[in-house]
Amino acid sequence: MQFEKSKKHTNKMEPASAPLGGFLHNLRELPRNFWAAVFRNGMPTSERARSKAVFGNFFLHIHPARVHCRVLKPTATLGLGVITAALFVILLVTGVLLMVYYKPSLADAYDSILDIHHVVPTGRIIRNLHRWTAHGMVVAVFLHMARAFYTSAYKPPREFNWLIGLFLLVLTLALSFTGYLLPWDQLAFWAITVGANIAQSPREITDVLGITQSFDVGGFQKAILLGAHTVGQEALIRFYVLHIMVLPIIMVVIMGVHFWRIRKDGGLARPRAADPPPVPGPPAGAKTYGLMALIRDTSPLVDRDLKNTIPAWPRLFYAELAVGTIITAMSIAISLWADAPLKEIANPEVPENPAKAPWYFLGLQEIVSYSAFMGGIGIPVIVLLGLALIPFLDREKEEVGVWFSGRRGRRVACRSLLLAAAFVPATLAFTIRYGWLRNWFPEIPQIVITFANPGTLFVAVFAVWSLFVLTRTRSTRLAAIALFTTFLVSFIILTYFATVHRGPNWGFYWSQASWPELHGE
Amino acid sequence: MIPPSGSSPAKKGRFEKPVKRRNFLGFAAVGSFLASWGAGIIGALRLPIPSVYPEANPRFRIGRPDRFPVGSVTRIPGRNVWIFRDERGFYAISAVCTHLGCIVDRGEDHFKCPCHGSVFDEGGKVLSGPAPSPLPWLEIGLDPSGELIVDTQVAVPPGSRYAV
Amino acid sequence: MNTPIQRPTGSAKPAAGDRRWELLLLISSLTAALLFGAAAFRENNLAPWIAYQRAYRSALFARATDERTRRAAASFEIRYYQVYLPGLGRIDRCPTCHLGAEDPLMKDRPEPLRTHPGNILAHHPSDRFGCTICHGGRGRATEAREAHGAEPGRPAPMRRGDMLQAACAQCHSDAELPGMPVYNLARALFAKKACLGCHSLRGAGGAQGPDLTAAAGKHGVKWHVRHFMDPQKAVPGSKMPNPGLTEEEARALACLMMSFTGENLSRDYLPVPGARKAGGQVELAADRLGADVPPGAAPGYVGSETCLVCHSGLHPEAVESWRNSKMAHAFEAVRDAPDRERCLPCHATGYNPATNQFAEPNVTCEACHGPGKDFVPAALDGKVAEHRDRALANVRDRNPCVRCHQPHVPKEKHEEAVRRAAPKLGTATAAIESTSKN
Repeated sequence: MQFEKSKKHTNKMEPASAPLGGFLHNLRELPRNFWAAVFRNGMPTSERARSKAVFGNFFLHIHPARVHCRVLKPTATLGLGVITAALFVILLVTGVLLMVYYKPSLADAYDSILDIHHVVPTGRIIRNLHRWTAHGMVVAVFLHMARAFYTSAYKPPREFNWLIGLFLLVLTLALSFTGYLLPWDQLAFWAITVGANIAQSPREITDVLGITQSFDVGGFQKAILLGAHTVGQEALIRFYVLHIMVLPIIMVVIMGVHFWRIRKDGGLARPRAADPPPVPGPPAGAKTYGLMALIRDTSPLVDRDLKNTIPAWPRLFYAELAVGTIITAMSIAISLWADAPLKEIANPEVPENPAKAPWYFLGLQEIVSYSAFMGGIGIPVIVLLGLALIPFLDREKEEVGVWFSGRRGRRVACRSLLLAAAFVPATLAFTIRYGWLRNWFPEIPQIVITFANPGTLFVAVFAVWSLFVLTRTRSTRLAAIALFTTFLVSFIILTYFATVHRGPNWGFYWSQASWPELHGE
Repeated sequence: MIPPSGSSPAKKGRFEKPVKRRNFLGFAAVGSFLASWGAGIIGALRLPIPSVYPEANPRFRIGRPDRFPVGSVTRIPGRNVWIFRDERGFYAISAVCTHLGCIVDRGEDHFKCPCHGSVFDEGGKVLSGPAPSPLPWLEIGLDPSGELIVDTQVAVPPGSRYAV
Repeated sequence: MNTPIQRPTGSAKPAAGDRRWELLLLISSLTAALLFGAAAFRENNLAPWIAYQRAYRSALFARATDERTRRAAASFEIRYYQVYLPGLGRIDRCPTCHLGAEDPLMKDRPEPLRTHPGNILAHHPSDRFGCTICHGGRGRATEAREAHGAEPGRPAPMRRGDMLQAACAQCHSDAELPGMPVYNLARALFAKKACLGCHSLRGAGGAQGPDLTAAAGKHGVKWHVRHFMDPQKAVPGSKMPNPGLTEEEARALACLMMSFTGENLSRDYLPVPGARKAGGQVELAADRLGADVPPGAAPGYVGSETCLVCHSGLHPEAVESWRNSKMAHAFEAVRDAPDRERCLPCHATGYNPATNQFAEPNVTCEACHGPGKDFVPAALDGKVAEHRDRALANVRDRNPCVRCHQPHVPKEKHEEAVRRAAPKLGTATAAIESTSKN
């Protein structure tokens, strides 16, 4: 059905001469008019109609009517943003479905998970999907952030969107963490117990300063989180409310802002070379983009030639749907292959050994094993602050949308990777072989270890390396690449190490197969 | 291919000219996308329909026959069933009003629903009120263990009895 | 920094005929549809319980002989079967696979269709007790691996073999249950070894050892057996005296430990008092006191074995020096004496002149500390200070040594001394016994 044709139908009036005042005619025309009211535009076949279809539709108008053709180039973004969004949609849908059966009470939570797994129709695959896509989303946001960093997509005018993205990263981790408790199994209970006590770890500092009595940030944080001294019913309901309502609502709103900013900041970051200089003479689409011309701002197309753009309809939608569907298919395949973990019901008397946090916090838990404050709060705050300040400390006007900003950047990134990949395992091996300060000086006060532990050592060494790169190259961008790469690589190594090589009593083991038997059958 | 931009008429042609070619691949792609997602969502919508209810088995034992003397009328605790025993045998009458599911009280020789005033006689027949059908007689029988067993989901014709 | 101009990356404008994304969408959609289909097929057809139910249905058909049984077989539905147990906070779906448990005609079928063995279901009807309260495991699960709880590295939640008798002890505190030898042995040992002297159970008992209320969740059967055979090997530095059990006894006690689940069972499920003797663990241990002592002995004596359960571990040197003393062997000299009854007040413990019976040979703990029933129940209740005070008070106040060890009597005049002391001794024993009665 064509745009013009359908318009005719909706506007057609019937003379009031018939006995029933046109009522019969309206009744006859009802199906057609009804259809035309819902699908107002028909299938858009011309480019103009396609543009209209995009900005006339609530769901599609999150896209610009025309996009730069580089958007569809897979290596430009690796599709990570779309993948993250698709995973989030799967999580929303499966999450709402799970809420039908999940009961957030100590007596019922674990049983309701067993019910979902065993007898609820489709429950098992829905729960598997929810669990695995949650892990997938954490991976995807990390990769998405790395992509944005390495292609300089944080540079003006995109600093603010970089900050929003950072906030979304924190939200993703918070959602994942709050969801971790809900099955109320041993894994959940002890991971959250460890996590909540990390929230209490500022006491490590306030105790030394002797101000815990009057200024107890740690105790305050833990009380807010758990509503009790230990993980129990209060904590469960708090985590539930955060997980199913507070955080998702914030997430959806902030994601909306994130997407909207992409348009406002001129689409995806791309190098200047992607667009030839504008053709001189009257702007080609003067009428079409008239509204944009009124705004004195960076807008998608005002200074660009239309030649390098394509209508978002249909190819961008094909691409997005395809990426989303591939991710969904992969998630289903994983969910068919592996069941979401569920251990014994939570037993507050018998800790899991080792009690490990969710995997994305295990890198921090490795540092937490020296200082709860540094690992749980100090270093994460340093890292987040560092990430937040990158766009403001690196203001070099240079190409955006180019991976590693070219050959020099690639070289710095490689060297940083080698440095972190050598230094972090070496330090870990050293601590396993020779121990750390407390093994040498048993009387040492904790405050010394708080500030001198492998975690702070990494931060210091990587900061020095980054400064070295800065003085050698006089490029803040290269220094940023050096710092970001070392942190990313050490995060991955620490996470791997704590996941695979840490066993009972946080001892070192080559693999889980060599863990000693703790509970005889 | 998109022609190069030029004067106004050419432009109009460029943006308004319908794309003639029929896009079978596109239709197939979107069609299969909608079909697979439709199937997935319809499948997932089975989730709220429980495959097994978290409630007591509607088929339950009530004890050995000698617990119920001839002429007795017994309400089974926790179950909305009246058990009768007369000279001809056992029968069970549901205590759930057929109107809107309230639990009927038993008077001298009739059942009365407190919610909307339906009245049933001794055998469950409607005497007055909005109830559309009599109180059902439920299946009662003997279990291999020698206990009486009642099934609240199986109705039997009124007047039938289980003789021990 | 000046970055060299990159080679143009954006000029690769897709041709109008570029159909890659359409193709990708088509392929991925078809893949997704296939996977959705696979998920649906697996859920509706591949679950093992469905196969069991089909097998059960064919078994019903195979043995159907008349119209009624054939109709019954045809009306068998393939669905989840469960026992809903709100009083126990459980839903047991075991009958989803174990379909013939209550069908006496299925007794020759292989598991899971087999009839439940024994007649326990007669007094523990399945619709009231379900399955997991005895068998353990996860009642809500519908797959063997999950339901039977075979998770590696953890205590197996399902009770198997003679360990099933642990289930009885969750509700029953009877000293003996018919047909439950492991339970009976465990109960007897639990009382005899006075476990509650040091350990507590649901608030009763001592505080020297770890609480036993939720012992089943902490360790598995194998660990408990190892621990009972040699406490210090399982827990280095443990203060627990080696109870000196055989492997069979250790297994029985381990079985009892597995009944201490810490679960708050509904009052509705406890045995109705009156039908059997009611009473908790503490009473039971106290009731057993002196059960191994001959009934005709002086009242109140419990025997040194009871004392040594704890004291051999608490101060082994003292016990050892007693064992090596003449007191521990005093009976040997008079075993075959013609007028033994004259010797027994001093050469045995708990001698009763009226019946000529004694509690045990030799001079043991109670010879000096007085009859155990006076102060041992306090220890069984965990009141260690009271136990100690009363046991020592008996020694301090009554000066029991001079009862037998008379000063200034040389060894060769022993015969004469005994003759002279005999009437006095009778009164001394009577005095101690009279004080111990209250």
